[in-house]
Amino acid sequence: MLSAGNDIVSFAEIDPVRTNQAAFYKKILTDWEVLQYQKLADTIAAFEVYVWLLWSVKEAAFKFLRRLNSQIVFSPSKFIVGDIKSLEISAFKSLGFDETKNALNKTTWHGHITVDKTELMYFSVIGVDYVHSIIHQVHNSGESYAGVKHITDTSAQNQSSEVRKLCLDQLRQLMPGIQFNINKSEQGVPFIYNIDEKVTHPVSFSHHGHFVAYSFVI
Amino acid sequence: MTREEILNELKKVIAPYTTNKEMLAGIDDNTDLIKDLKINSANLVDIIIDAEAKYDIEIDYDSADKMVNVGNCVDVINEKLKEK
Repeated sequence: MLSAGNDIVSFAEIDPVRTNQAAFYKKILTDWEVLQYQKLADTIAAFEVYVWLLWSVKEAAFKFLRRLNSQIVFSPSKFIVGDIKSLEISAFKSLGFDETKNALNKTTWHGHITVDKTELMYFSVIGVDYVHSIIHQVHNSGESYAGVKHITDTSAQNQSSEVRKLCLDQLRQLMPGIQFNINKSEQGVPFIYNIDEKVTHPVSFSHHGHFVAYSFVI
Repeated sequence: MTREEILNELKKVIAPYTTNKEMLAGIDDNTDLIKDLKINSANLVDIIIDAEAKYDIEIDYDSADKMVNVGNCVDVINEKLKEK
């Protein structure tokens, strides 16, 4: 399964009071996931951060699977986060998480998410202002890379151009001299095209407020 | 309520979450909440909660899953109002 999926949530854009209301979080979390928070309350201090961590994992999984099955429906209660473990930030650097170059005030997490009978592995970074999650399949033939950027202009057009520029900048660092562009399939799914070698790579973009983010496999 | 009345009220529910105000004025059944109205997926739960409060209805998981475009939203709200 070669695919990519990521999601970012900006804490400035969420309503913490509403997130803590059962009517709201029960639309996102299963009862079991709500109970799991008790084990993490010492390390993820705010419940609303936990809710949006799981949302970002579920949304990233949805994007990952939609590339493989365009008929899939995003139903948060059916995307089950099985485990949430703290992870050394050094592990993320080896994954190509560009945002972990500055590890200050960030915590890193990983675990598994199950959708129907498919189990995927996720990695998440919780910063002061955002949570960013990617799906990374260890059986993939490629390596995952991801990045986050704070932007000033939050228009949809600027979010789109900034995240593509950020992604292309990392590609140029990884493979100097190779020409890439970013296109969309007929189904609207983005992909990276290596012009020189005529091969494509899956890429996922996300944005929320003043943050844009990507992940790709290459 | 007629579908038209539900649609007019739905515009008010959606308004705080869309950056595409021009398109909001002319929405129809085929308008996609994310692709056309540029609503962030993180706000879809807000729209469902606001619709529940506005119409005093409960939207279950399966119904919420269908609410990807305006026509589906109107159908779900219409169905839940009839069940009251």
